[in-house]
Amino acid sequence: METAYTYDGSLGGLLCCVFDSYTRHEVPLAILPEGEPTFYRTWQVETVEAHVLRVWNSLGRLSNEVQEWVKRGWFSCVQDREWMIYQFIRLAYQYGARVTSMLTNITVCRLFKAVRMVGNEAGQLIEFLRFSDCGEGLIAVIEPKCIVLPLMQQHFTDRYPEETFLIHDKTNAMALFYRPYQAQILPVEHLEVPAMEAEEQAFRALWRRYYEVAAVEGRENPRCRMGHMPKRFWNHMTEFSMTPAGEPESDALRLAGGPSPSALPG
Amino acid sequence: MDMMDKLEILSASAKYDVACTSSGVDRAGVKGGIGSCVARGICHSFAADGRCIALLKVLMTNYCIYDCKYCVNRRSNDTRRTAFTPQELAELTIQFYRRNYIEGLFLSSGILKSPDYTCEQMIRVLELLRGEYRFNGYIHVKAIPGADDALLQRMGMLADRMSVNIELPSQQSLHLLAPDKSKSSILRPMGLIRNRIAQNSTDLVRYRHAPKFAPAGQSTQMIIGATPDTDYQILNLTQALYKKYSLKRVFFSAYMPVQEHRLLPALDTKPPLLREHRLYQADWLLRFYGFDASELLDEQHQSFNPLVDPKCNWAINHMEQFPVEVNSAPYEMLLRVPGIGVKSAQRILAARRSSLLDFDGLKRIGVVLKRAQYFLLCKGRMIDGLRVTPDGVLRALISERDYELARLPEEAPEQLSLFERQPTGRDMVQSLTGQL
Ligand code: SF4
Repeated sequence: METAYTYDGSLGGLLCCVFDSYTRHEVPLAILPEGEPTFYRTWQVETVEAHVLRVWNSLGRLSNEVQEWVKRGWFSCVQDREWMIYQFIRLAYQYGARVTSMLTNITVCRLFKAVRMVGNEAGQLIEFLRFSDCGEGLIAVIEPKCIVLPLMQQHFTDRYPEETFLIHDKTNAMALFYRPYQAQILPVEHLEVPAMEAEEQAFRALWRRYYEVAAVEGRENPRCRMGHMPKRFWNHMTEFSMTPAGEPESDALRLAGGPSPSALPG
Repeated sequence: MDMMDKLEILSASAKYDVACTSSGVDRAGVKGGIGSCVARGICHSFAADGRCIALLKVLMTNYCIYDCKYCVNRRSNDTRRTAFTPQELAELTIQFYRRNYIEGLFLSSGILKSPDYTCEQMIRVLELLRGEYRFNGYIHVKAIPGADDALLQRMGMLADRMSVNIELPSQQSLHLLAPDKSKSSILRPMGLIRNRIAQNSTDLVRYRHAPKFAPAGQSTQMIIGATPDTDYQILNLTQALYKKYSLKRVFFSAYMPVQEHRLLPALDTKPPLLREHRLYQADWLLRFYGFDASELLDEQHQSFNPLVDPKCNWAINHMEQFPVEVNSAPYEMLLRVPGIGVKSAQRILAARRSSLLDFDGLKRIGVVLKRAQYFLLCKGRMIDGLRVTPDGVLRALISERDYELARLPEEAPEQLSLFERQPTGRDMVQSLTGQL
């Protein structure tokens, strides 16, 4: 009988789909988040801690890269990431660690691109994210396409060990909280950014002036600027926006939200 | 004068220094301090001219006792003058840094009173940052030619990167346009820095915690187009600087006219952007692609081809070495294929370990075939349906951007006239089709 799997929408749940498909000796027709309507007969996969760990550790034994690809593929939030990751894990069990170099395989190649996209976006936000000092600490707001906070955590906590800061990811409704020397990523539905004090306003104005002056006149190159620094980041950059929250957010940027990262294994 | 005016004046006169990278050193943050460094460098913004902004790039002061003709800060220029105090500048750096605007500070200066006095002021800023603020981010400082060796040494212990600008590509040019400077006053500190870095690296082997001297190395910059020096001379000088002084980077800056002078290009001259672009491409080939300057230009060809980049130009003139087989060509040869960069070449190496590559496979791993297809074989065959028309090949090799640059109406005639004996489009096409 042909069956579609439903799972709880977490990466752990997806790993349990892999577990169940091996113990039930079947390949599901589809993997869907619970509650999604379907014509198929469904098997509801239960998220069991022990199963999550078993699959996760088995990937780690193949190579760190395989594990990392699965995690980042999940963070990428690309369409149909469940199926892509499921197929990749099957290939990984079949071919072992060398699966990550099999770039001519369509699944591997798709995942490779998703992994690269996540890494690139985290890298871009490490560059373009801007903090504002709100008196009690530093606040930044971002609207990424992917889940990037887990990949940015290390960079910022290492760089500002004595600061208290918060990075709010509006897209995925989560935030990275840091105070010396503790960091945590938590789900956050809504966050009110406090009004900026005079000193903060002054530094913002200085930076904007510096930014304007830095361009050599007669060498304007909007295409090059946009290529390096895509417009979708500008909303929240001090160079272009008066408030740290940016202009009213655009819904177009909103993509499927992920689960809270506490559900992640490892 | 308020901070806003100071910042405006002292950043406006520093911006012609093109080096803005924060690369070359990996350093983790430390408890109790602020800042870290990432070896590949981080850009935090891009200005309207498309250039990266990584560092707060300012002058300590724009007062100057010298009179270099190509410089806005020269003594004889009537302009607003000011100076930061070391406290002001250190505080500004930290406040920008903690908001993630910048990776650190790029400090340079006009010569106030004397080279030594200027140097001491700059050292004071660095000491405040490294000492009081425990700043662990990136600092690039420009060594002041003519300053005491001991001062330069202290600078190097506080900075990540040091640079001495070579300014102009030849001694004659320097003599004409920067009468207060000489080749030796520039090369001397460069040599000193090189020696200290070398000595430091042996110290580091012996005592693991020896303090580091300019761990991100040293770089330099020269102005292109203010003087008649040719691409060939400039590229040779560049290669020599890498070899002799172990420089990390050589930067080029297209000359922007700043004053009317019989020794300088007319005020309405456009900066030679295409030339600057070609020099950077060639510099890249020297540093990462295993090319030697003599392969790119020679006595007979003193200028770069305006239509295609230096690598394509080389390939067109060496068609006897192509096409190469993707599945067996050595890495060094893949790197010489137009359109294949370091990343693509590495991906090919990784992918062909697991299976034989065909053209679809190449596309799937992200190799762009637009140019490369004319130079590649997969499993012994060229790509299916590739129509090798002279026009198509040439168009494929000319990048859109280059085409636009080469076509800029104001610039093209002046640029093109620099190129003696340049192969015409037709010549190139013939040499291509002749081989294919
Ligand atoms: S010494 Fe430097 S700042 Fe002074 S005029 Fe010459 S180039 Fe300009």
